[in-house]
Amino acid sequence: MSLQLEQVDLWRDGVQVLRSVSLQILPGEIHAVLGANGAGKSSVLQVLAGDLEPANGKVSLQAQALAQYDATRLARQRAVLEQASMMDFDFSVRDLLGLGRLPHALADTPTEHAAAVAWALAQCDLEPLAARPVTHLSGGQQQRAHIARVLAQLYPLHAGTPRYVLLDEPTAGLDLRHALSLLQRLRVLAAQGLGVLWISHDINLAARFADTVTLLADGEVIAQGAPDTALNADSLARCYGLPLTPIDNGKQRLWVPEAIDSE
Amino acid sequence: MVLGLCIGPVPATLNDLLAAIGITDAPGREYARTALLELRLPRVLLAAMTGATLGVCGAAIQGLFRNPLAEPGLIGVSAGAALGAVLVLVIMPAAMPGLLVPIAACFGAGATVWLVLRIARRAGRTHVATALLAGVAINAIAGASIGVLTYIADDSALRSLTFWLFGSLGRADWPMLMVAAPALLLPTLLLPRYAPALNAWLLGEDAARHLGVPTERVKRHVPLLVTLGVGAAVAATGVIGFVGLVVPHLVRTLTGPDHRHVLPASAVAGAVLLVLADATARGVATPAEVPVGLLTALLGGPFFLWLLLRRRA
Repeated sequence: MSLQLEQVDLWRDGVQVLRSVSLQILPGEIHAVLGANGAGKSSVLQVLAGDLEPANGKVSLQAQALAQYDATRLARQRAVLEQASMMDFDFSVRDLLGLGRLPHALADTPTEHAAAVAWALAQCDLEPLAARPVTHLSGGQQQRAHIARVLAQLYPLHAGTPRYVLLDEPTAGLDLRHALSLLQRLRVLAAQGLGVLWISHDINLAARFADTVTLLADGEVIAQGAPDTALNADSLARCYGLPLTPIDNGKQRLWVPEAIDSE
Repeated sequence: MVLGLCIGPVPATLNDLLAAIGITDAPGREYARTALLELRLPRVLLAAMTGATLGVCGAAIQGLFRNPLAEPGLIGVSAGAALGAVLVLVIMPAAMPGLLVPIAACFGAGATVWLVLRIARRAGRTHVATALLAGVAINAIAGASIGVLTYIADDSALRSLTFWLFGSLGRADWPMLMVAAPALLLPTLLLPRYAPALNAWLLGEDAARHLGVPTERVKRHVPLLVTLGVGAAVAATGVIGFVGLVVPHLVRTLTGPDHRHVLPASAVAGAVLLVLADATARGVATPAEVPVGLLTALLGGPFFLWLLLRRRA
């Protein structure tokens, strides 16, 4: 029971961007993917989302090949937060969240639709903004609205088969408080059975909130496992191409980069 | 509709109208009856259908480009259609009416949509600014080509040319309406079915696919229907600009941006607007008439500028 890649090779424009990548998103787990720019993080997400067909290897959801899923059925079980979400039309925040219910459009009664939207608004503390046009919000507020839209797509989390969410840098544009509040919320949702793929640039947030981390470098998995073991000076140096030093503050081990030789 | 029927060189009263449909008697006013049934009714129907089609197509194109400022005229589709029609008119004047002109207009519209989408698409994304610039270029090329064709054209072709360029409902009669109606009605009735898909499409192509929308189908069918609608509209009436821009905008201020409301409401509002515009075009300078395309451009141009200014603020 998972959303997973098995030994996936992917080429883009003649360049191999993923080399025998395997990873598994389990229901109830937050799985963070870390890596430098161009390491293949977004490619992993796109293959898991079904956007790209790998040349070799398997992509499966609940032990069934992803390609066999009908688009609407897939959309009811997994939602994707794209790297840059857009909306140039004056939908209210509430109506934007309503767009996330599209895969349920035939099944939803008006009451269920409203319940899903209300639930998603609450997840991202968006109630005060519900009636505002998205186009009038700040970048960070828009990001939260799109995260809520993606969550609305998966409501209710406990019904039937497990739900998965793929988040491409969800904390981008969020201030410290909202970033933390989002991650704490994701922990709560994971406890309710949601499987989370989280593409991140923040090693320390990943160490604190993820159950599993995968480190990518040059399209290859260089470390995978619990943050405590997978994140070490050696793997991080290979991943980011610069030395990082751990600092223990008594509660958590923080990774701090050393200065880059400017020659 | 009633207003559209009653205004014109032959004044008609409400009573004439009722007489024409056999409700009352209006002795001695048979000429009014003829004017109503043979000239004005098809004309008003054509105005309503063309307006509805342009309204829906405008709303759909704005959705497809994810930009409320796109319009079939602005991205050159109408000009492409006009060029197609004019080309046939000038080169093969003998083959003139019938089906060839509408087909050429649709072909011109289709070629333009394809070209604009092709140019504006980079790395899987449609760049609206590029599309609008491509539209400017295509408008210029089509305009110049039409200009060249007017030099080659003989007198009778020249008269129809003027008609294409300014847009007019003056050629409406029953046989023409029979040919144009299906091509105008099909997009008007089918495009609203794509409303939920277009709503999701506004989030971006990837996001729409992740919501289960068959994006390849949307990308093929919506431009195809718009092409058919705009091509047929241009074939029947020439270039009537800005209806596709102004109508969805006005509608959105009333209904919000949800395509499930915007598409059907744009059809209704487009029909009303063009019937009124045509009535005005006939009414202001009786017995002469202002080409309705000039009128919509005169009103629509400033409206577009106002939109630009408002968006900047």
